[in-house]
Amino acid sequence: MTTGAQEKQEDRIPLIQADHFRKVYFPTVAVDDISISIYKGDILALVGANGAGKSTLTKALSGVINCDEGELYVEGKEVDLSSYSPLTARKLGIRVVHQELSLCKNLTVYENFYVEQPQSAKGSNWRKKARQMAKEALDKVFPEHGIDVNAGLDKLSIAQQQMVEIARATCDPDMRLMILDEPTSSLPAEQTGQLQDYLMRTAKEGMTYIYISHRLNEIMTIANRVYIMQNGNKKWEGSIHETSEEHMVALMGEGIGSGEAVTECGEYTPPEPNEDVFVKCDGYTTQALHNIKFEVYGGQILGLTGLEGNGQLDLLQEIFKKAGKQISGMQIKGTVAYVAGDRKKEGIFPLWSIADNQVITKAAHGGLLRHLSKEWLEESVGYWYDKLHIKSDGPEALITSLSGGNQQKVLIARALVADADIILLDDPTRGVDQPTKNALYELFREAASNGKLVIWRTSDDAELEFCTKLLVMNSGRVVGKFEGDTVDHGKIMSLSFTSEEKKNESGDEKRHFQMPGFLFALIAMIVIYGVCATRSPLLLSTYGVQLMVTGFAALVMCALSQTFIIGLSHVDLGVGNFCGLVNVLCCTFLFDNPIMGAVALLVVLAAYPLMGYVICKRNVPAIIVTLGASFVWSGIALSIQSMPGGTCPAWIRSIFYTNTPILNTLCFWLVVFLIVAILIYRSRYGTVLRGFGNNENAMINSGWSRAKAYMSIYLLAGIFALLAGVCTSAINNASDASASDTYTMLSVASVIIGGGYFSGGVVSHFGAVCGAVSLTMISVLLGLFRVSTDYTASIQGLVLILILSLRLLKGRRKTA
Amino acid sequence: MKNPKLKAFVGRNGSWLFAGIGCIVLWILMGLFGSGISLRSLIDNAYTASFLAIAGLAQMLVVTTGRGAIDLSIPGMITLGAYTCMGICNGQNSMIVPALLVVLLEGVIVGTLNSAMVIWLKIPAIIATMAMNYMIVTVTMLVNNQFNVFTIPPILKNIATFRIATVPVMVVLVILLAALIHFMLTSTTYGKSLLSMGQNQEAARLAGVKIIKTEMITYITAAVLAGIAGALISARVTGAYLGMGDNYQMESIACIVVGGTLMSGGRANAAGTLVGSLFLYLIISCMQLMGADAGMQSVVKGALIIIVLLIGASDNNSRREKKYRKTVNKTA
Repeated sequence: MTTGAQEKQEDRIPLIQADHFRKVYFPTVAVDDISISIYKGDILALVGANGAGKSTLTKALSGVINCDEGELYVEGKEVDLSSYSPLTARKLGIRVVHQELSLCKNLTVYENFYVEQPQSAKGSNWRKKARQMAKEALDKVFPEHGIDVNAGLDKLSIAQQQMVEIARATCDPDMRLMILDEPTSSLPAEQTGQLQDYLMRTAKEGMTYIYISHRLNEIMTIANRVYIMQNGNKKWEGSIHETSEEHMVALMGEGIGSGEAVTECGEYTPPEPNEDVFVKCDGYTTQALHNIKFEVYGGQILGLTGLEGNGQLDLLQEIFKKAGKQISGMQIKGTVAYVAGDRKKEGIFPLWSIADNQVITKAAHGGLLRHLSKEWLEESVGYWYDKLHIKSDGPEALITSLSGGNQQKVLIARALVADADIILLDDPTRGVDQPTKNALYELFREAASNGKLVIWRTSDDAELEFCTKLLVMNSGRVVGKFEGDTVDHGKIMSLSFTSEEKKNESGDEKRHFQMPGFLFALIAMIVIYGVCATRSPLLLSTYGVQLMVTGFAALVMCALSQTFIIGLSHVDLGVGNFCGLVNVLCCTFLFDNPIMGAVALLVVLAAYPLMGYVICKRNVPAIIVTLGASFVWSGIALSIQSMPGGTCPAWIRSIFYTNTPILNTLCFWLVVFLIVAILIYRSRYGTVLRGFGNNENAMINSGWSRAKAYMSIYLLAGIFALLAGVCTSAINNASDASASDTYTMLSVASVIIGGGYFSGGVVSHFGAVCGAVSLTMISVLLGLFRVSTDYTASIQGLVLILILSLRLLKGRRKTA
Repeated sequence: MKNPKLKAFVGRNGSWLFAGIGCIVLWILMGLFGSGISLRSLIDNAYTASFLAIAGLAQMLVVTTGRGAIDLSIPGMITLGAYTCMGICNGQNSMIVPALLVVLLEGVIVGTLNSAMVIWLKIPAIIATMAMNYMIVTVTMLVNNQFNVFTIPPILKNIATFRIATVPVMVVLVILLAALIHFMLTSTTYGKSLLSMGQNQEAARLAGVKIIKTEMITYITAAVLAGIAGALISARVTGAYLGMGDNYQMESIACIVVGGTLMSGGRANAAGTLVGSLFLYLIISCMQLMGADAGMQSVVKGALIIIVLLIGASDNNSRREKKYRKTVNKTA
């Protein structure tokens, strides 16, 4: 198989050479012994069935995981794998475009470019440079992409996000090898073609690619070499000219389902169908499923196969959700139990023992007040625990002390203990060793022979042998049905890999006008202020405005502070008390002795970054640290000054609270602070800080320090909270340790009303200010309408709920 | 520790066992500063703490539902419970039962609304309950205008203040309540459902747990408990006044943190909540004896909450779990 081109390659030093890579996820060998060489200018297609080890190899090459054995050479120089990380990989010029996106959804397109490539936008006017970089990269790969680089990433479709992710990787000037893991899975046909053109063009210029795809026709178009993996090993390697789609499919299908496991487990004859248990689908259709038709009865084992993400999981979930309900297109008789495939994400309860984990489904049946005695528990656990030979220190041991395979046994026992009629299995043997697998297969058969219906989604093609009935799915459709011993792996492969013509959706669907997050708060503020003004026109005069500003200034500042914290997906439960403490310090120490007062203020301010550091380093919940701190703040304030009193230093008043010919200085300061807060968030590092609120891991992988980010955010929040206290002192010309306590919760509410979310780093300083003003103005409004002050709080609460409910409606429309 | 069971027990209860030891140390300190070590001083503190403990148990249930849920309507419900009870009873024993029934009804309404906002309007619990708290305050003020709230029916007063051989009835009642909640959590369908959904709501759903029902019952129970706590507090302080529940806002959270309940949900500890509330009051008493003012007491309390949290975070158990949660969040 040596061609002329390859002979030439043998003389060259490979760009990347991996020798004898091995990675074991006990007990599964994900990558067994892989040696692979990639030469400059190659487009190497990495092909293999589900679970062949492609992703593991990718992760090992890019430093996301460390492999157990193996050597890596870059241009002939050995790389120290013990200290190999995504960051060192990037320095060597290796980059990956993962299937899961690593973008920050709360940033704009060009900001996402910036946080990952800050070195390319040095000097003044980084925004312009980043915009240009983003635009150029997108234009280069996807001409006429229709993506606005100023748009927020959350406003792009999945396809567009994928385009951004790919384009972002291409603009790394140091990049020499790019690994693309299923890059076209969500791209429309036009962009897929553009990407292929780009890859081929740049490969000619010397760029190197590893291209992973299930779409064999794509591979035939662009790759010059093919590497086929099977069970963590090399199955075949060669030039594209030596292979064809049929050849690849045949190679992948070879050797699986050799019947080894089946012979070990013996033959199985399904019992007579149990007509009391069934799932019947007749043209069932959802967003992900199209016209599903099949019938299965108790006693059968129905396998769902096909390439991952083609509707098998959706079908399984639909059956679980719709059990016991009357819906058209699907009839289900019998109780269901679900065995989750992703153990960690949706399976185990990590705080619990094996026993508790095993009985939860059974325990969840019946009335909520049902008593579950010790005897009940032992009885429920015992039989299956023994039968499954779970290796542990006893059923009382924590589930997390078990190996993956044994955890999976517990989850299957969960379904069996519950004695459900229909058992839904979501790839239950993933990461399980062969003896355990065989034991599980026995169990499924036993369950079926007892008249239960087993529906089994599997990614291990050898397991199809155990199914009495088989549905092959492709793009949400059932494209093949097999029954009994008619399983034909070649046929299944070709059915799964057949991609129908791609729908040519234009890249910029779903681009309707998006309301800014702060809109509701802004409208609420204007409406409330307007209504107040109709009652009392005085409010439109400068005097009226000043009066109002005096009322909401401190809350506005606290809300600005809280915005930074909630922007990091934390909550500060001490901001009000901190404001009170600063108020007291200003009116006592600072009044008596400016130097001592200033030192005291700096000391308490230093506590904020310290909190950020502790939260980061010890991984403790921010909500408790700030709650504890709130007691400390109010305690210190009370110790210094037990009764309201004190005097604000005259110089503070002259700065923050002096009348000018136009407006009080306080009004100007508030505007200045708001603008400063917004500018900070829009600055280079502010953009990075926002990124941390949304996708911490992506930011760390881009090389940013988490501790530094946390400390910066807490310091910023501290400064604004401190200014809130200073403003309070200037306004009141006195201090009261507890007068600001209510600002804590009100500031949280302001941020949320102003379009903020508790997670995801979505906040708006302007919105928070509008929210704070609205909340304060409600009491003014009610006063003007002579509504008893009794109702003030309640109407504040109602407005809060109303605004958040409206936001939910808006969100629903977006997802619909 | 050779005994694996003991090890597991300590692992699970580390933070509140520490607080329990802290309680004993504080008690001894109190004896040294005061009039010698006596059981009496401990019981007196337990008595004061028992009112907080009820609010703490309520908070514990809501926090255990997970995803950062906190019930901020507890202080409002305490005040409302106090007003309702005092107002309806008007000093008559015969009206206690109807009054408590009304408190119960209020709790059911508040809890239902809270959970409806969380489940269907998808408002974060912390905001939904805060808004609810505002509304309860209004209702309370309306009640305030209607009734006489300063005469206490004798029986209620007895329950709140009576002692059997120096042991206050309240302490016994609260221990019984904690025992009942412990039983509910460990040995009923409700408890298993609540603890599972707090650990991982998606896993609980797939395991067939009735999530909506469980969540509603939890919010309702919390509101009812807070209302009853209010009725008892008012009997102790002879009357209802506005803002009487406000102190319980942060303290109810503090006492469950000290008590080993996980703020992220999925692990509750009824006994720990009792210890936690006792711990908080012992600090105050101890500081009082040492001559510290209210401010210093608060500082020490805050510092200790953070220290307990940091100690809790250092045990391996929770570290492993945090790692786990991180992966969950990442993939979610």
